[in-house]
Amino acid sequence: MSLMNFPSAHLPPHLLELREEVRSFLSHELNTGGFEPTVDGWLSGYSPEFSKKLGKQGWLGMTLPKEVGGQGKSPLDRFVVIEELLAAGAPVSAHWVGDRQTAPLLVTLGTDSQRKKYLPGMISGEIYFAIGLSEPNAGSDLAALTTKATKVDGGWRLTGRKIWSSGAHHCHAMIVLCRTLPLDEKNRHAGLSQLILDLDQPGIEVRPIHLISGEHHFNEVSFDDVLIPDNMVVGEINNGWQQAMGELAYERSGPERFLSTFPLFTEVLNMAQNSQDPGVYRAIGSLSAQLLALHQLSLRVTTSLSKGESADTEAVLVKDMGTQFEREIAETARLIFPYEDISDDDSHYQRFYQQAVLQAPGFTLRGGTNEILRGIVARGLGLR
Amino acid sequence: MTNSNQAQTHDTLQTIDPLIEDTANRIFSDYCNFDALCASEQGEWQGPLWQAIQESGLSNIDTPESLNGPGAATIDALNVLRLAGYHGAPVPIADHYIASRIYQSLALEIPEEPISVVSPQQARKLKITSSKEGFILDGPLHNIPWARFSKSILIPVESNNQCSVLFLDRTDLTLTENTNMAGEPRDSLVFEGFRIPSEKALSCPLSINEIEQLGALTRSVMSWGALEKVMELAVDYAKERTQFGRPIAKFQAIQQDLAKLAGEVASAAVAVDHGIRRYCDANPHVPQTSLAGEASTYIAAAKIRSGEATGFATKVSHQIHGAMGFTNEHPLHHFSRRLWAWRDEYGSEAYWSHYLGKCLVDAPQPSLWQWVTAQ
Repeated sequence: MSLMNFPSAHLPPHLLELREEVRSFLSHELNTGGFEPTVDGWLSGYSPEFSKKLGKQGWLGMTLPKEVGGQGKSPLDRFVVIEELLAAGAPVSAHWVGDRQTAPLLVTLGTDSQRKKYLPGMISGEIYFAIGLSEPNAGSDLAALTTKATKVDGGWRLTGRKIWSSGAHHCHAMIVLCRTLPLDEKNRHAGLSQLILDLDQPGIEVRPIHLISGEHHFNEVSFDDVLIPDNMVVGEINNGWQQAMGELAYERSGPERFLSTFPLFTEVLNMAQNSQDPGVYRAIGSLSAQLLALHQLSLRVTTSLSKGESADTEAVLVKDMGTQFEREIAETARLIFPYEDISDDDSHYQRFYQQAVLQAPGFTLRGGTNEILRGIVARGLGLR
Repeated sequence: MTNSNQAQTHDTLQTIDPLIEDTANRIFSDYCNFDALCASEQGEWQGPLWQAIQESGLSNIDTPESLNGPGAATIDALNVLRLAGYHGAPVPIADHYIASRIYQSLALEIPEEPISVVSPQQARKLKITSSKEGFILDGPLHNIPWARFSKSILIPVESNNQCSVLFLDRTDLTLTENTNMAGEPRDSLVFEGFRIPSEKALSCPLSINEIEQLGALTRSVMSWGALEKVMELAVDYAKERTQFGRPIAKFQAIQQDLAKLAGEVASAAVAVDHGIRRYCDANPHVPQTSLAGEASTYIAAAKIRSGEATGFATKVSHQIHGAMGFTNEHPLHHFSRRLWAWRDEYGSEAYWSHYLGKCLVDAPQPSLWQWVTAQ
């Protein structure tokens, strides 16, 4: 009878232990100054030192097979680890994209030499990847992209521009989706390919784009006739659209879609210790019920995916709900603990609140706008 | 069927019995048609439906065999209530189920005729005097579910930190008939020095709070079912209804609203499902050392989420149905009105979010994340 499918899920006991292990690690790191918690730590919290520590713990590339140096763990193991990292506001942006989608892509479609070149560094928290999808004139309509690679002897010559490439100024490489055949207006998804581009070569310009917060995470990356050797093609040439869409599944269902502002919520709870206000209790109760539901939705989608079941529509729906919730935390916080009433002693609260409000416009844009996501849900409901 | 009432360990996931689900769906589909729902609202008792429910044991399916019950699991009993909500079953199955849990706790067999339970919130408004001979009741009592069709009415009261359940025979009472906004019987009584002899006042192992929580859970579970129905009706109608030469489902504005509706319903569904599971897991004999062990907090989340989703889901579903869905002739209102009634019974979102928020604030920090991730 249900139009959406979210079967109940339960974590096995060893993952409850893993959760405790990550908690102890984080509490130790926090107490010894290992990191400064931040809102939206998977975009804003850059710390190669912290990424390397996670690598040492075996918490990067967890789901990759042992043959390539991974742990051969289930997506639920990774789910537990990243939930804890995000809840603590840990700085995980350096390795985030590589760990989430590039490493699994290379395992599935990469060549041996590609895996050997990149995976060990990704698993140790030392090699970082950027996303090369959006372009100035190809946002929600990704297939409008025009960056192209032309075949030459021994490789491809890449020319064009990618935009919103978070952290590209720190990253070692980027997976670029580009046209390797001339545009076919009747089938715009054809003739696209994924190429690995090392970012430390001539002909590449990384221009910073500062956010409204003043922070620098976004970049525009231009390529001027950059040579990419043949052995840097990922998967099949001209099959890039299908490959990139497969990658998006990793991008959409994770806990980073509802926990970006969780550190602010934790501060709200701390502030509420001195409050007897029923309005404060009610606001916290309502947000907590939503949070519980989102954790359950995300856990259930991850469980379905880990069993090899399809949950594409459900994943998209979680992202729509979760990213709205991330903003709602900030909007509720300011009403129950007014900004002007906060003393400097509560600097964590002030800082997190400001970060949350200023980062919020991005929550419902990145990884597919909520309008695009709802279109996908509508298709799942049989409306289009 | 075996009796699985005893607390389950947290290491496994309880499964729903498909046979019970099929039986419930079949009976509800057979009897809960549009005409039956309308007739019930006109005051007609749906005897054949109640009889079918009783013959298959669906109204108290987790009553143990030792009490002459079917002995199925509590999770199946609550799943039956979800289906009752989905079909809009116009009988007091939820209230009879609450009564059956009280009977179970007292090791009594429950009669087949409906038994009504007054919610603790309502019972608190009575003036109750206790004496050696029993209790004396004074004052009005409202919103008594299905009282006019019930054999007896149970009133849970608290005295000296102990819950007592007062058993009143319906035949001794003069009721004023009333309904909630879904047209379900919610009758009234006025007591003036009404005496309950002590043999009709049984001290109950369930606490007043546990009865209130169970009541809130039944409303959440039925709302889950009704939310799924309201969404299904909206999706189907959007595909059928043609304007400007195409089904309105083809318009992006409609698609966006329905996608948001699906999100709200899914969020409520998992919150209620989680509340059900925590209720079934709870072991009252083990002292709870942390908030995460408190099933009541997860029931609170279920009631909050189902209540919040009700506001949005009914708004969108009625908007998509246009004027037609706003009339008596279309089935939508049987479900939207039930949702509006149930979200206010046994505590609104405001009541339960206050409860949950206070629990989280008062617990040792950091309470929230541990509460969310506990299982």
